[in-house]
Amino acid sequence: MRKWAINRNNLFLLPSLIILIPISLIPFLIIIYFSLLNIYTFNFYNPSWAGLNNFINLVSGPDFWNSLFVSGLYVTVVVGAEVIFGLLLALFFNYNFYGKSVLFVIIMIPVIISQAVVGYMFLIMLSDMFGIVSYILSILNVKISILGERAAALAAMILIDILIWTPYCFLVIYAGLKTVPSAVLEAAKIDGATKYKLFRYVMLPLLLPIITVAVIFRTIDAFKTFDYVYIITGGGPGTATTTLSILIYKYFDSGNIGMSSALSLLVLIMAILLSRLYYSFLVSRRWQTT
Amino acid sequence: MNMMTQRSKRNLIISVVVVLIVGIAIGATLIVLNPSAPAKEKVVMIVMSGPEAEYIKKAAEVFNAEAAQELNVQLEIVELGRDQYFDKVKTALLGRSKEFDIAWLINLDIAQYAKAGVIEPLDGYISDRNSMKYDINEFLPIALEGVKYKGKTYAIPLWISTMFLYYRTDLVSPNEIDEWDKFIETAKRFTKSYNPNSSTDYGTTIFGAPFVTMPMEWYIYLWSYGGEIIKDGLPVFNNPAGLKAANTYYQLVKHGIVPPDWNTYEYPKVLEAIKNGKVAFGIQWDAAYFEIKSALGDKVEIMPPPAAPGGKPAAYTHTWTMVINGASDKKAAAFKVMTWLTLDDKGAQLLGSFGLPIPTRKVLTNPTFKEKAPHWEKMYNQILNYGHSLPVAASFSPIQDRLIFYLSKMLSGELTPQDALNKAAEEAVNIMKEAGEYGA
Amino acid sequence: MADHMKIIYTIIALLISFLFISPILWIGVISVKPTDLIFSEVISLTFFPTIEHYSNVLSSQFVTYLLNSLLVALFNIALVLLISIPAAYAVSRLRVGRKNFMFWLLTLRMTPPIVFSIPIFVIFQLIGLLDNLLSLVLVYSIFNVPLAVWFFTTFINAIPHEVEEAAFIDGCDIYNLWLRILIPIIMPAIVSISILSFIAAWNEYLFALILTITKSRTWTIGSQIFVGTYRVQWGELAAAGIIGVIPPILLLFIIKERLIQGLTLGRLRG
Repeated sequence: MRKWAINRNNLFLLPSLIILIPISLIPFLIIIYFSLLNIYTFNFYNPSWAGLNNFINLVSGPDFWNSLFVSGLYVTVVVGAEVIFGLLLALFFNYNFYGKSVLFVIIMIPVIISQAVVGYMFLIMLSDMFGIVSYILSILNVKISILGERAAALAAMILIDILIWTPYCFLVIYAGLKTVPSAVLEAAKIDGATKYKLFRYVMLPLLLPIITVAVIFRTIDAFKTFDYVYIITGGGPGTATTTLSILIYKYFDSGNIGMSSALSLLVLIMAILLSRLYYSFLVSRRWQTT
Repeated sequence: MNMMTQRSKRNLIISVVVVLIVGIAIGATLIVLNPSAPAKEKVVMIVMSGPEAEYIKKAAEVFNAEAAQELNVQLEIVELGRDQYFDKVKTALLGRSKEFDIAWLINLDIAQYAKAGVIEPLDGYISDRNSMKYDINEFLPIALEGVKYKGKTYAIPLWISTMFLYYRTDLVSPNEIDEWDKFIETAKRFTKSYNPNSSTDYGTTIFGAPFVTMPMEWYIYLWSYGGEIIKDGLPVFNNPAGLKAANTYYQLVKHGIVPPDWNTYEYPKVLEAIKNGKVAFGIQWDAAYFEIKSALGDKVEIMPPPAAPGGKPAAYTHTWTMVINGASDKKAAAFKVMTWLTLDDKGAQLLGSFGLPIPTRKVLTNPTFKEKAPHWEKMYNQILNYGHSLPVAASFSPIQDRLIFYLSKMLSGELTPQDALNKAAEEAVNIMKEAGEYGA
Repeated sequence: MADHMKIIYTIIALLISFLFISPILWIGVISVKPTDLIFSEVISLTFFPTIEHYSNVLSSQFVTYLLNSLLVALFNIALVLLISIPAAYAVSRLRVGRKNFMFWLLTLRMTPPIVFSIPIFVIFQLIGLLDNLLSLVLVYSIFNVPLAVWFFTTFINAIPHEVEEAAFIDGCDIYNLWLRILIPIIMPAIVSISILSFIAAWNEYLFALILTITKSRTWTIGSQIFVGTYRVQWGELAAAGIIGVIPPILLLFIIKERLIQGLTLGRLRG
């Protein structure tokens, strides 16, 4: 019986491994190989060895650090805001109101619409001379070039991200909220807990694991944000909105496959370290107790 | 209890079988839905969407109806949006994909793919009487030169492009904007912050978006000051002439005579700014001619871009070309299609009649083409008198991409013009060394 | 709850929804605006709407592209659920792969798509699945399975061990445990993951670009042909975006009652 259990344990992981390993591990090894080469479009089949030069060039130049800062700021703000708004929205959906299921579907629309289309549309909407947003701002007597000023451009990208991805966090957290055992809540109510206390000491601890999942995955996805930022600002003005993923793309676009692979690996390592950090901070303690 | 376990074991087996069957069924349906074996000699051409793609699609219909039988080739056009096109072509060519046989490339991109060995040299087909029924020298020499790399021809030119200075005839006269100093001063006059009575919001525009069109516009500045991009195997765009060009380019942004979100301006926004009377003049591609003309009529005219004081204007020009995928199984058939489209009386004249400037004498002097493209005469003269050719080098495309990066930094004030050019030149040297083109 | 509170909450909910979809509403306005007016009369709402953009979008092969996307997204959900729930169960209850497997999954999610494009392309070329919907179904599991496994693991962790122990004592074997007890409890998670996987597959664009060319082209690629060599067909692009929202929204509307039900089903009563 015991022996069978061990075999069975592996069996459960097997389907995912069979599908994921071939299509991920091989490309991954190729990327590591690319990152050690001077490999461009023109010498793709005849690259020269670079050793760690690509990595050294990255960390010794200003562009990597600038993008790290932009991405760091971007990811921190959007993930923080989206998780908080998502949580509030999920709590709000616990109340009774008319048309809940219809509004639930409507709130999902921003995540469903193609990011590339959203990008082009915001390019018009935020344009100084042709945009509805700029027009509304000018009525309010706010004189600002949304996409032309460094801080404003980055803020605009962050706001768009929050607008698009809050529903995602909402959905994740709402599902978690729905599995909080009702008996626990009722018991707490009977004990005379205030609403705040109920949330802070009963619901939040129960929700923490699922919030952690939301934070980890939104962090990873926010690092990868590309489509609409690239379409709207192209990383500009200057490098004000050049996130790490845009920098990766710019190297790839220049045909410098070696540098873009090296940068991808650096980003990958950082994301994993960050996830482990979140994980040990928020979940591991809890996991041990259950 | 025993019963229960047995039943659930049976259930387990049944469900595993069901899952397997469903899985196989899904796989099989998807494969059947996508039969991958082509029936006969079908040539696939991948194109970037836009008006030219529409012309090619119409030409393909005619080809399939009239020439396909005789040549024993079917032509299929696959269209991709601009943001996707370059990624797709790069991945597929480097991955030695057989998905398409013909692709469109700007002539300056040919060298890097030729050096990588993933596109087919065409000399063998051109000299072979069986495959080449036309005279290759029908093409203008400048167009033919642009598709050669290390003495070999890699592409067939499809159409030629240039940029004009579009200006409002009711607002400015050509002699107010024919030199850079005057250009900037006149632009100030048409900018509301300098002149509240101005009928336009800003004087002019700039291709400020970090996109391939930005350096193309900047080369006009560079050449007009007597600068060069690469000379004798060395990057020289950071010499004094280049610095002047960069400074002038930077002035547009610094003086605020272009829209403040200039960093998002390329073709579409420049077009709308000119069309809607938001600016008094601006450099823009010839492809925008019809749309601007139909919006503004006689109130707009074209002229060559400004010159340095006492100097000669410079014109940017490149050619969109067709190349054969090196991994294709149908190279000979692909070659037939390409020559039919550009050199055959039927095919070329058809494309010409849509207004597509195929750089052959036959098309450009054809009355239907001239009627369709009345600006061609000016365009032709501009290219002939002021046109500069781009360096033919495998390292050029990556260098140009680094120029986009550093020019953006310069325009936004992150780097001084001199620093930006020096940095770009430094990277250019490394790329050229890697390509074995440094000092060559 | 008092009725007037319900009305106040409804008003708040309407305001929130409006905030979220106002940009999409404006995209809707652009999609029916005559091309000439999109830039010349930016804020005008008094134009005569045109369906020209929509008919242009639908006259291409757009419907086929939508169908392809739909197939890929649905089969992807099936695949993701089939392989993630067992894996999550193993991680949570059988204590395998807690660290390595779980963090390996995160690296998958993190894979920088553009750099992966050439290797992925070469692999699918080798196994002969280029321009085949199956390749997309497989590739999309790279980023959908990690989220699903993490998500399900969290949910299964939250189930008290007593639930299973009680079931085992009742003579329930592992298979029945799953079908009768675990799956119903994690139903909210299954619903959410289905929606999220669907959305991710529906909107994916880089792998769809790399791995398809004509026959299995998805709608995200199809919608981008309105961004031309230089020119952008703004009205058509907006219309394509709006059309692309309709199938998933319709789907959600059809199952909306079950959706809310599914999301509330799992509440443990113990």
